Amino acid sequence: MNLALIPLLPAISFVILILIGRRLGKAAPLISLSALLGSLVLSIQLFLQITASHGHPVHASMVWLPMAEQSFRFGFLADPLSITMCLVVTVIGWMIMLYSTGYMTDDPRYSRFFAYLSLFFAAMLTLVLADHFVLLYIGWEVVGLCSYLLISFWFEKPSAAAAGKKAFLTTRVGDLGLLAAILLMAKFGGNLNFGNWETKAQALGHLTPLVAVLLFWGAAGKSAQFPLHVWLPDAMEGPTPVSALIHAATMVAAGVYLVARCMPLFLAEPSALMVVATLAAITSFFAATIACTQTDLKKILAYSTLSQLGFMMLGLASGSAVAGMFHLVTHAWFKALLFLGAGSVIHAMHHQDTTKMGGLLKKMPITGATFIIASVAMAGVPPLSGFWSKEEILISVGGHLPPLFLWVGLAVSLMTAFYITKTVIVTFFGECRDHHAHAHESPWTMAAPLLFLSVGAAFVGLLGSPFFEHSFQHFLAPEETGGHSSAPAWIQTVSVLIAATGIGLAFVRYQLGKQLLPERMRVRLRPIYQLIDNKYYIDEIYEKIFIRPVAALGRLSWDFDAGVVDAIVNGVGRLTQVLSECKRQFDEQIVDGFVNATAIWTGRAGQTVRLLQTGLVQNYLWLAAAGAVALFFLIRR
Amino acid sequence: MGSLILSQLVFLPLAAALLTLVIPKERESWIRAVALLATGMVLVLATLLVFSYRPLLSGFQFEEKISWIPQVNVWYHLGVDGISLPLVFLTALISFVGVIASASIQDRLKEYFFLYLLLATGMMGTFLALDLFLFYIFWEIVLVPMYFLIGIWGGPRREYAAIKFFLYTLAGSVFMLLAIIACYFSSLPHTFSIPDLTQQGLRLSHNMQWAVFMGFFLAFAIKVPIFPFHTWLPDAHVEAPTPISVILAGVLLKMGGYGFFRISLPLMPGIATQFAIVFAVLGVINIIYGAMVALAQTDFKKLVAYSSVSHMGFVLLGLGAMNLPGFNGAALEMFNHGMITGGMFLLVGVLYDRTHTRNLADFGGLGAKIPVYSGLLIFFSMASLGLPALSGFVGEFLSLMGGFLSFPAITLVSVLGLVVGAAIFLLLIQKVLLGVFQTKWAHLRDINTRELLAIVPLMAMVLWVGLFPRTILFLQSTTLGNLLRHLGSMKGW
Amino acid sequence: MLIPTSHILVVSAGLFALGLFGALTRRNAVGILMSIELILNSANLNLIAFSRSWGTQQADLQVAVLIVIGIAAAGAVAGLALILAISRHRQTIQADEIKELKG
Repeated sequence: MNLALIPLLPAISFVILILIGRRLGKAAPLISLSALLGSLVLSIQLFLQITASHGHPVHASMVWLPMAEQSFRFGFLADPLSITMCLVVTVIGWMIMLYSTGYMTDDPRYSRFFAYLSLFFAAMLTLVLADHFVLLYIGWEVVGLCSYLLISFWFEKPSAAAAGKKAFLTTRVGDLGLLAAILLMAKFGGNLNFGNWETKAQALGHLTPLVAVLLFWGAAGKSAQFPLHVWLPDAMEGPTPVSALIHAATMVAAGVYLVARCMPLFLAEPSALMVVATLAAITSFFAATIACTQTDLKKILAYSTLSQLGFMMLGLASGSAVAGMFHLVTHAWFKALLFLGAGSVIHAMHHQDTTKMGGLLKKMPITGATFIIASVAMAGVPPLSGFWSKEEILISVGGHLPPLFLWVGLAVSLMTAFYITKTVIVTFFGECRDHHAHAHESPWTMAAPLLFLSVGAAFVGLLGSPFFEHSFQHFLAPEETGGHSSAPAWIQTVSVLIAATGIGLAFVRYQLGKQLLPERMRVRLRPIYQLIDNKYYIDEIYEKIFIRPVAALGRLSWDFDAGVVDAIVNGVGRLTQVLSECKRQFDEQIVDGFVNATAIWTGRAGQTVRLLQTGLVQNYLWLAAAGAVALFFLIRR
Repeated sequence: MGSLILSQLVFLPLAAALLTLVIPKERESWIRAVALLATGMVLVLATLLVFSYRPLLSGFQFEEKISWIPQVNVWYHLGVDGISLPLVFLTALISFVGVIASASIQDRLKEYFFLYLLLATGMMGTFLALDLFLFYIFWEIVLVPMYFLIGIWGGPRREYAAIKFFLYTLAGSVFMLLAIIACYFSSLPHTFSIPDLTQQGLRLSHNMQWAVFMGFFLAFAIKVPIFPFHTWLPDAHVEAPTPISVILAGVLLKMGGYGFFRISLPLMPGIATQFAIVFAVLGVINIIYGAMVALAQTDFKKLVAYSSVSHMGFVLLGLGAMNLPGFNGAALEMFNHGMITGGMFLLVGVLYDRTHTRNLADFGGLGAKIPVYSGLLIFFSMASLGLPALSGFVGEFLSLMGGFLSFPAITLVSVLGLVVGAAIFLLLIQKVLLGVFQTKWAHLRDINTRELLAIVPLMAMVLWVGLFPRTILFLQSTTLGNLLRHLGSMKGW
Repeated sequence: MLIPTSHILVVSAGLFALGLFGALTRRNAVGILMSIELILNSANLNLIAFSRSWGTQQADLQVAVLIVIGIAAAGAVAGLALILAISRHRQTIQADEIKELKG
């Protein structure tokens, strides 16, 4: 019962807010905040219960679809994996919601924003706690809806409306993979409940890799992995708390969660893992390169999220669900913080172009400081949280995947450190390049979450560090013992060095203003820079090969429908008309002609005979006499 | 509970229709009250029926059987089972909602409600008749009022649409009549009774059975409608007044699918199982093609009409699957589509009443001006595109699952329709609600209480079925299971 | 001395001719009616003549004469009544001015 309340409380809050939200005015967030607080407390209680029972899951279910032979039993399942996600969602979510009360304060649709957020939490917690693929899918789609509604929240901007649509459709393409995987499992894999993965994999047999890849395809849609990553950068059109909550910390991590949840299926078939690894590496690497060239504050963070999600997937692809999940947790903290910091900056500056910022640390000390903490955490500087999870992934990748992936991982680390340092420098240091701006520190509702999250961003990673005896890893997967043994020992050292190099390069380039490359090479590399700056033209390519053809096909079908199918129907109608006209002519001219002719001739005969009838009595007498005479002669003869 | 509940369901509207005839024309509120009361009572009766129905029993319940024309063995025979029960409830609800939505009708009210109530009788009778002769009569009764309702109270091209609808459907039912006669003469003793015919099967040669099957198929295919027999639908929907569009989409389209379930499958199980793959293929064509055409529409109502074509594809797919999830999905999708698309047409009507345009290019940015309406439009759009937790998803999912168990490849193709389907409704939302607000709509009023009253019951059902689909599935599962056993293919689940 | 039958027949034929002539040529409806009476009486004369020549045992022809007289009287009544009505209605009894029955 308590379990069901976790998603139910925000759902109730959604219903209240959507019905009477506008009348509540500024009090609207109180409802959603208290509902989510309830979920938070229940999650912590569950967490304690699970830790106390050494990872024994809590489970509750009910029949959703009754069918003669097999019913769908849905329910909620709290095991270490889902309760971890649950805590991330509720804790970070609560902070972001608190922050939103300040950030959205001037918005005319204030209460509706919190209604949508509540719906999002209800769906996200359903997704996380589901014990059944179909229930997961329900949550999965509803969070997609919320993402759509919130990206398009400022729908008066056409770009926001378009971005929401793009996000929904792109993720829907991914969802098809998930749906197909569900169908395949329903047909061949026995049942759709979580658990019994080995029997499921056995039942699926040679289909296992296909199912696994399809699941990953679904996850790729939600987690914005190449080639379905295009929606996430555009999704930055939404309000910044939304970007922080949905498009950095929680929803986009759902794909990672799904893969982690279905890890046994992937492990049963290494070829599927290679697919995941390849796409993850591509996403992670190319998104990092793009992040280096962007100047829009939120876009930088968006590409950074892409890159980090790829990184998590890479960790999962190495066969370690723990590594991916660990990075998911730390990333949720520092990336949410980065976005909220960015939101605070945007709130103060009213724009998000980093080329027009600078020197903001002095004007916004809390925002600046917390942003720097998050950046350092992401760059992978020990002992902040990003370091531990990144190291965990690199070690796992080094131990289980071909060396190429390790190199990609290291390159991504380097670029991450570089671009985030660059962002910090151009935003918070130096001189302000926009003299009209009167930036000021944000109100406490926004500052408090920043401070709280910065503590987490700094120290959450320690839970998975040797200082706490890898307690995170043990909680999540008691049987997985770290797997440090097979990895090259030098990775740890190298990864620290690489983070330092990245930070150093950015410092030299942007703080000291020195060009890193000689002029000649920069000219040579210009086209590549252009390519990256235009995001590899992927949006344009999709526009050409998918969107326009589909739209054209739609118009073609419509023309076909109106021009051929309906024309045939109308043609049959017209043909019938023509035929009936022919029949009418036949009827009138020939069939009716005979009838009329008879009548006409009868009439004419009558006309002639009537001349006899003069009406004069004596005429008749004459005739009678003549007749008598004639009769006389006739009889005589 | 009276034992004649089914007859009451059928003839209450007819009695009310006769009553409207004796009310003076000027007493418009009386006429409206009579119609509202009659359909309201039908709705109450239908609800009672749902609750007193025993889902676990096989066969028909609440049967009424009276000899009608003994010389040719025609019976007045009504009955309800798990297939018809949800549709009976749907018909009752949609009829009731339609009366509320008829407030926008102003001229010739008396004739309007007379025809409307007659239509309600015809629809209810079609779903309850268990005698082919009676079925055919009710089937045809539906046509006549519908013809006048479109032809008199419709839009600018109403005559064209009404005639097209009438002739198209009539052309189909002629073949059905032939098939019915063939069924009658093939049975010994000659009978029109559907249960009897089901039990004894048709004593016809294989080829003859095919001919009979195709006769029924044509009639039902036009009603569903199945590509390429669908072009009457957009015209009729677009031209019909709002409440009639709601009924067309909500109930009339279901008569085709119901016919397959009630007649084609049980009477000719052999042919039907051979035909399964054709159903599935036609279903996929409907899904993709309907969605594609809808994508290119600029008229709000036409877009919804074509999306109906796409949705009915899921019914066909589930039907073709010939397994329990598929059948459940098909039957449920019929029920859901009635609610969802009915609601969608109500919303189109609400906007049209205010703006007198349905051209999507004329709208934009209305989301800020009419928030309640926007919320409803988003809700029904999401239900239409199959968002889980709303009813549309359950039907589509079960149909897809059933289809996948039988025809994996075909079904995987149809999954693409989900993306296009999503694109349609997102485009719709974008064009109507999002974007820059146009000042010409500055005086637009939000949805009023009366319109809300019509739409809220549908909304509640959509949400309820989406969250607790078992309430409906529970009613129909036993019957569908029996039908499957009759078809002799209890494969899969 | 009996008058031979042939003589009576001649008289009768003369009467008939007179009657026919009158009926065909008179314009006055009463005249026509009178002429028709003449024709009838010529027939009566014929009948009487033949009755005498056939002997007295058979009274058939005499009966016929009585019937003809009766009918003639009836005819005269009906004819005169019609003429009276026509004369009242049309203010004329000239036969060639009355053609109500012209086809």
